[in-house]
Amino acid sequence: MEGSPGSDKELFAVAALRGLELRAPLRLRERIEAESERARGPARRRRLSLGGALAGLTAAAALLVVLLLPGGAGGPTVVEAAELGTRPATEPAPGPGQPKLLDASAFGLPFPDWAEKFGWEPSGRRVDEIDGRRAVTVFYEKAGREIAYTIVSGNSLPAPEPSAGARREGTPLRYVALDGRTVVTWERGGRTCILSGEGVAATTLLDLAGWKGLGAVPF
Amino acid sequence: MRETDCPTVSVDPLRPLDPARLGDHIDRLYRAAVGLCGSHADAEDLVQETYVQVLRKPRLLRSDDDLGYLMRVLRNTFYSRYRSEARRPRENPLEEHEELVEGRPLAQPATAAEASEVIAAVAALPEPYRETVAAVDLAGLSYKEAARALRTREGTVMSRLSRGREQIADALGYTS
Repeated sequence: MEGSPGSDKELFAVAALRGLELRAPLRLRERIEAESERARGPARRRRLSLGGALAGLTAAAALLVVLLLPGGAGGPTVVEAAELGTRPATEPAPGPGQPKLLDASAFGLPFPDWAEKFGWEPSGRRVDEIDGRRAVTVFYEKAGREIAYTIVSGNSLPAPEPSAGARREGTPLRYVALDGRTVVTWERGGRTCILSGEGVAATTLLDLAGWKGLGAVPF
Repeated sequence: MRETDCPTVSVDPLRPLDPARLGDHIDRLYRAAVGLCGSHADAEDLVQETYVQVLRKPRLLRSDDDLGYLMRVLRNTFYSRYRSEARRPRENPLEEHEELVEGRPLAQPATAAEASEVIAAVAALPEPYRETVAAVDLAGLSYKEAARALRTREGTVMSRLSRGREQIADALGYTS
């Protein structure tokens, strides 16, 4: 255990603290074990199901699967692209454009204007190249929190595994917590879109991601 | 921006959080929770809520620091749900616990009452000191892990730890 005390006084406190023998109650262990088992269950079932399906595939089909994995397809993974949202904006916030849209787009896809409907104001923008793909990120702010909306050029990227599924306004979405940051990904016009934020509920991000502004936001 | 101006980004590999491994950290997380809450009952609820939050959806981590990640979620859960309750004065904060509380401060056998004094001294610390003592001295995180979990710098962890320990020593009646 790190944290060597620097004085006799600290030594006294450290001895008292580290001498405490506190063990979690058995009932707590049992409840957590049940929660863990529940969390493992669906994944285990999926793996078993996938394993059964794969057993019948030919070698050529297996090769195709390999080629469709992130490395084979070229370009970053969704998780890697989501990291761009943790970096600072390098350009000013885009202003409003057409109704319900910002005056900013990437690869033919305009970014939505969430200010009026959801209170998220655009706060900045950055453009990157990651693993041979261009990625445009627009940042939004609300009540001191920041979220990042990234659109990646080229063909769509595979959703991260594991990830959970959801649907908003008919659009299938995948989401996962990435080291404390919630990441939502989906497709618009064949491009991969990624919305991420720390300290923002997944439902909030999912609602924003799937919002079509009564048809104003092209998907 | 021209394409040649675009920065290239490299990212550390990620791994899925394995629910099967999380049970290894219950005791250390519980120790930290007791220090934060000053109450075994609240600590039990806090640890359970932390695990429920973490297990609710698949998660990817950049490092092997599962405990540090759990500690971060525990801290956030404490501040969002339990802090207001923890601030309320308790007449006998440890009275309701039938669970074993054994302590051996200074390598001497300690009574449950002495252990209760230590826990009460931690719970009485200002929050920045309390969470740091809970992370390092109770959960056993390194300075680096604690800094990540508490979203601060290692130097800040060290200074808060020192001040927290001194206040605990004063509360326990330390005399030079």
